[in-house]
Amino acid sequence: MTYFKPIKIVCLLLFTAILFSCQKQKSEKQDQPKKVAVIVSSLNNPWFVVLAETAANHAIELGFEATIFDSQNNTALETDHFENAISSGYDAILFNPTDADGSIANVRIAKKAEIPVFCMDREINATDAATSQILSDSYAGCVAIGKYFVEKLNKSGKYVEILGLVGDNNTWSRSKGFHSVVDNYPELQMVAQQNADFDRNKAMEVMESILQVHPDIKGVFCGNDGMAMGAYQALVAAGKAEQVMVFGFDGASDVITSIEQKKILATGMQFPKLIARTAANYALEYFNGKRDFAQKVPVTVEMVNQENVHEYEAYGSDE
Amino acid sequence: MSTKPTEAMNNKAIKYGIGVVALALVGYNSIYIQPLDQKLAENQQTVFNAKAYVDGIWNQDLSKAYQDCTDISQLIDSFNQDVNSTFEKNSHALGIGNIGYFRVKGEGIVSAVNENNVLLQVGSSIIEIETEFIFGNALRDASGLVKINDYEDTADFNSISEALNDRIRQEVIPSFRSKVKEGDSVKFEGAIELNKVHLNLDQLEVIPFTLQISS
Repeated sequence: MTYFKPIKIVCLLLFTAILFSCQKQKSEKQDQPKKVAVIVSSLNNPWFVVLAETAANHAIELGFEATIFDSQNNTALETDHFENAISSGYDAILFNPTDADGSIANVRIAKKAEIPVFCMDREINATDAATSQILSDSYAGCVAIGKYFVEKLNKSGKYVEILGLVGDNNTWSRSKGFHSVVDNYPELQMVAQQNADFDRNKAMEVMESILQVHPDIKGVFCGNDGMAMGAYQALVAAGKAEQVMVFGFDGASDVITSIEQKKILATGMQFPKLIARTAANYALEYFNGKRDFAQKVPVTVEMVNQENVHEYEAYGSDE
Repeated sequence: MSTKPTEAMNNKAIKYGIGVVALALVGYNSIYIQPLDQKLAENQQTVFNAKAYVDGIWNQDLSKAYQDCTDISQLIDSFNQDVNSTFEKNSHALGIGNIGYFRVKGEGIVSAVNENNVLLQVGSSIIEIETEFIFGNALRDASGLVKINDYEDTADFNSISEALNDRIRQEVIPSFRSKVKEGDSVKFEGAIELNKVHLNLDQLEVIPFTLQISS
């Protein structure tokens, strides 16, 4: 006959207590609202503020806790936010990457921790890391702007392109879409192509220095609306606002007003609210058990120009 | 006593010799020299060739898709009855948003030959056949044949539209533009892009896939 020794009984009781405690913690976590981290590349641009705030607010409407993290266009800071989100027990990340390549590692960290990541607006160059990527169809939007640009410049003249962040896929999708049209017209001559990192002040400085070398340009295509406003400011200061046509991309509030006032010719209307709400809805579907998300979900971009600006409001509709 | 320094030197020489041979072996096995043009050719093989892809689907899949399309007058009637159900039933779209692409066909009489387009009277509607700005994704997306998630690189996916449009601009448009004149009867198959929320049915703009003049 075998008898339990007292030490064995104590061990068994301790083990049972630990198991019970773990189970209790788990059930407590299940009872708590899901936590969603909204990690956004920069809050220095009103477009991203709308994206981040809509994502967070909609997550709260869906019953989650939501916190916004600003990566300040810095991949290292973005890494800190991911590590923070993982260690703080966040259940999903709604993510606007800073860099198509540099952000992949961060998404993989979350994937390893079994936290779903839903990319918003900007793409990462990997299709096996994020749960889904909800992306503006920047290429198609800039094809439309390219056509309008060619028509307005009457197929000839010197022009300038101001690019966004070199490491962001949207920068190149927009540029490629635009050039897929404009490069078919040999009398349209691009005299300068410079990046201004999607930043209004940098774009103003870039435009000022370009104007000193090329005072006879007819058009400027900018990779976002902030840069378009910066370029326009430089043109006003140089007394060339009437001579040069400015084209942007985003659908930001001040540019829609500027199109109405005929200061800016056109922009590509993206739908940050639609993108953000879709990402939060996907997080809900994930929590409810869905796993078969499309890797890339394009969101259409619509051109807003002199002829149709009265039909649009800033940042598109909320639907 | 006098031989000891010589022996030490010999030992050192042997050690250095072995070291040099070992380094040479490691170095030789670490470096692989290949002609640059051969390496570039290998890289080229992994680049997606959009033109070859478009050429490959042109005669079968694409032609078949564009033969099976909605008559443009019927589509306009359908829009006048119910916009949402017409979009649901007839349009192709890649993702989320207001824009849909439709495959259409029709026949009309040329009412004007303009610098960038040709206008056709089709029933009671004026239809604009685009002959200059053949750009964008209308032909690719209206076909319903190509899916974005089949392409790891979105740039490859976009290059399909460019190759498709290039072929239309090079093969379909020049012969049409050189012959077409007012009063001609023209049959067309093509694609249109429409916005569900900002729908404008006045002078629909068709990106042509085929154009046929019968005077």
